[in-house]
Amino acid sequence: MNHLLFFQLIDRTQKIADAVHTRLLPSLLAYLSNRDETEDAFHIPISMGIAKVASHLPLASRYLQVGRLLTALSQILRNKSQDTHDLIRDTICRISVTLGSPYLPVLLRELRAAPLRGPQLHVLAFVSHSMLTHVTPAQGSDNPAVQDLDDCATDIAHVSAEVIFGDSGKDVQHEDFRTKMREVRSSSSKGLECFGLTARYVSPQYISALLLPLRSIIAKTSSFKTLQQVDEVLKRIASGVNANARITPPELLILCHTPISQNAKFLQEVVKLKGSKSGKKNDAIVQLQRQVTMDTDHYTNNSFR
Amino acid sequence: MRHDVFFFTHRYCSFVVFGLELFNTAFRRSRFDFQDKQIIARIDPLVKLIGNALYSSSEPVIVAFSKAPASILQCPPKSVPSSAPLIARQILSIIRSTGSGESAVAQAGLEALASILRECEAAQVKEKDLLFLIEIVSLYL
Repeated sequence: MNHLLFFQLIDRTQKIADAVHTRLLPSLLAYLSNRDETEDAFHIPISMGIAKVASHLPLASRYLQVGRLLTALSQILRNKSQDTHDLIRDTICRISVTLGSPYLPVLLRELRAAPLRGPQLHVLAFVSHSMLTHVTPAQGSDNPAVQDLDDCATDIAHVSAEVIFGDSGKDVQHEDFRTKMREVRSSSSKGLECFGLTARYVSPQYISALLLPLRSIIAKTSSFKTLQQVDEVLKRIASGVNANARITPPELLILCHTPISQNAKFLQEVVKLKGSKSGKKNDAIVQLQRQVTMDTDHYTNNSFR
Repeated sequence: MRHDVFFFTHRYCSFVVFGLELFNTAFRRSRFDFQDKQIIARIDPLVKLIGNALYSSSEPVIVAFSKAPASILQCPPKSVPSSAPLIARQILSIIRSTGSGESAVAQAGLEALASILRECEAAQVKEKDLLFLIEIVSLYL
């Protein structure tokens, strides 16, 4: 008798899950996507309900529905209205808490996947920052919120580096640049905060994910201003790492030793005189001046920050 | 001039300063337990690294590295007694080369030397070097 009841219950649960998966959530998502911009205030909060319903589905269909929801939300983020931005940011923050840490990388990936450009990239960085500050515990609190940002580190570094060093970041720094968008004005500082915040909650092996964009920027740039920004980002990462409870003292010492020892060879002044064999012969017979070509050692000639 | 090399070599200093800042901040916050052999074994190679970096002719690097000896020479690794006199001597020669106590390098050097003299007994600074230091400092008294 008990077995019969059990199987009936499972059957009923399966039927409910199927109905939610095939009928309820698709219709709600369609309602969310086919919205009128003037009615955003009514449509967008529905996504919170969708997330809550989807979180009770079996794992396979849950991922599918959450993915669809996040794609729909990322598309709405392209809207130009400030009110819509505020509303969607608030909704995404609440969804990220509802879904929990396993969905945070998915959320960031979906947001990044939406074809964003120009000011939308600033909005993306602003939303990412809000989400991170919302899900991570406040300094000094023991709130067991998300304390692991390992899988998000690459995405966060990419989004933040774009608004600090990328084309969209350079546009903002231009003297004639004027904007009314709040996100665009403050995205650079939010990007810096994101770097620090992520460094606080990643495991040691993911610190390199934060440093990699800086390494490529350093290799390409010649601008003094950009270098100052690189230093600022490094300072934020350093303070984040020092506040990171997941990094043990031996691991911290490795983190100190690696950047110093790997780059120490760049600190040494090595003057290499170009050999006569490698040089191209001139047509002139008389050489009036000695030609000394220095190969490296540009580092020492430059002033620091 | 190869510009790619130019930018690459110049900028990597930032990463070195990053590593040093990590170490100095962690030391200030007393995160290292000097009773732990594993910690001591990992600090030991840093002593040599920091000592070598003081031979750089780049001003910013010296300023950044000058902050480190004061912390690291207080640690008990094996290499400290042998490295301390060398590091102190090198800092003295840096101060001598600047000629006065006004530049950032000299200021950083004097600061580092003061804490080395105060904290590290192994740094055997000679009397004539101390006289030189007094001569430099007395100008600003």
